[in-house]
Amino acid sequence: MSPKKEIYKGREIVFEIPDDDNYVGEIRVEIDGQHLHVIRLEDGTYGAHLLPYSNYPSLLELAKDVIDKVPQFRSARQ
Amino acid sequence: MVDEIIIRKNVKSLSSAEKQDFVDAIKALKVNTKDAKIADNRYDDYVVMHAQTMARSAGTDANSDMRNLAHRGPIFLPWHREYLRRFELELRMAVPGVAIPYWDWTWDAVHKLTDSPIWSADFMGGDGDPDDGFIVKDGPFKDWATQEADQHTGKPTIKDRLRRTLGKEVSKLPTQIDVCNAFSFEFYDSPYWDVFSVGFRNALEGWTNGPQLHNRVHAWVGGSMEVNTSPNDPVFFLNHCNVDRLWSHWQDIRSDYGYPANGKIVDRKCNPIAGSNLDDKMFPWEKEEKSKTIGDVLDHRKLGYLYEK
Repeated sequence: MSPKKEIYKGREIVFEIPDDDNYVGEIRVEIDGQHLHVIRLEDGTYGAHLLPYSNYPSLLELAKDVIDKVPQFRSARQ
Repeated sequence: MVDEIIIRKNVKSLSSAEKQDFVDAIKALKVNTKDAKIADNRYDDYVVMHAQTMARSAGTDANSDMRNLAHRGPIFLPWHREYLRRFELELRMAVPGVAIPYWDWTWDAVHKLTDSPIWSADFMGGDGDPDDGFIVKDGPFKDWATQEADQHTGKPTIKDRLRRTLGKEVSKLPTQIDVCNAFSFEFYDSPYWDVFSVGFRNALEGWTNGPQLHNRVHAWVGGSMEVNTSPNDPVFFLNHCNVDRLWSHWQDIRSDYGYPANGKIVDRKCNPIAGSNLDDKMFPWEKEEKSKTIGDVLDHRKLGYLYEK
């Protein structure tokens, strides 16, 4: 499992996708070095405390929504 | 025993004076700093309280399903019933006689946005401004300051402003058919009591083929309603009032209100799920002398309110 990096709207997203497709539990995700609480669920989707009404098919999609929608992460660069 | 019966009305049947009373009561809590306990005003206390439940896992297996002390499990409906009841009592202390109205979004699902009484300038105000981060700029909650909360602790962090993206995240509100599908479940919930469960609770919360019903409404309103501090938008309470109304209707046709027997709700490791069994008290009120158990809130009539037909 090696970290992957993506830039979205000038923000650096670092995440680690587990090698084991059946992995369930906490996942490492950071946005500009700030830890984001994310869980991989048993159906392979991802959930976060900060966006509690949806689960996401991909980590990147979740992280992008955090940047777009969560005030603490949105305002970090403002 | 309750002193008086509160009637919760449909938003559509509120008079202008009733709308104004509700708005005034909300604003009164927002400026009430002397009774604030965890945020800097009494309204924001409720926002933070909600975020705190999100940050607390329920069950020893919660790392695999994100079940928490108010969501993603059987506690969802009882917890929000008690949360609304407490909030409503505080509104009534500010403005006597006020009640939380319910928003029957199935009506809005088949009508134009502009026909809906909820988004009028004298009630909840309208959509966010797309040219300015979808900040709400009309109605009584124009430039409403929001209280955000830490993802790990639920403690207050920064302030923001009320934002809405009506119909942009998901285009359609839940329909009457969606409600009927939820009502087709004859049982409340089932192991392992989470977002993968089969039953009425999970359907109404909106995880079954989601986002549906409750979750879909959060997504449809968007903006401040999509995050862990969603009660920042007063519309939160109107949505949950409707969710509670639907639960009360479902309960009326079930014996013992349909909630599983005490001790039956256990996680994948066979441990009782904290705060979810019938005799459990609910966070964050569990240490109060007169705090209610889940069993205490199953019959809404005993809590002193009814829904207008």
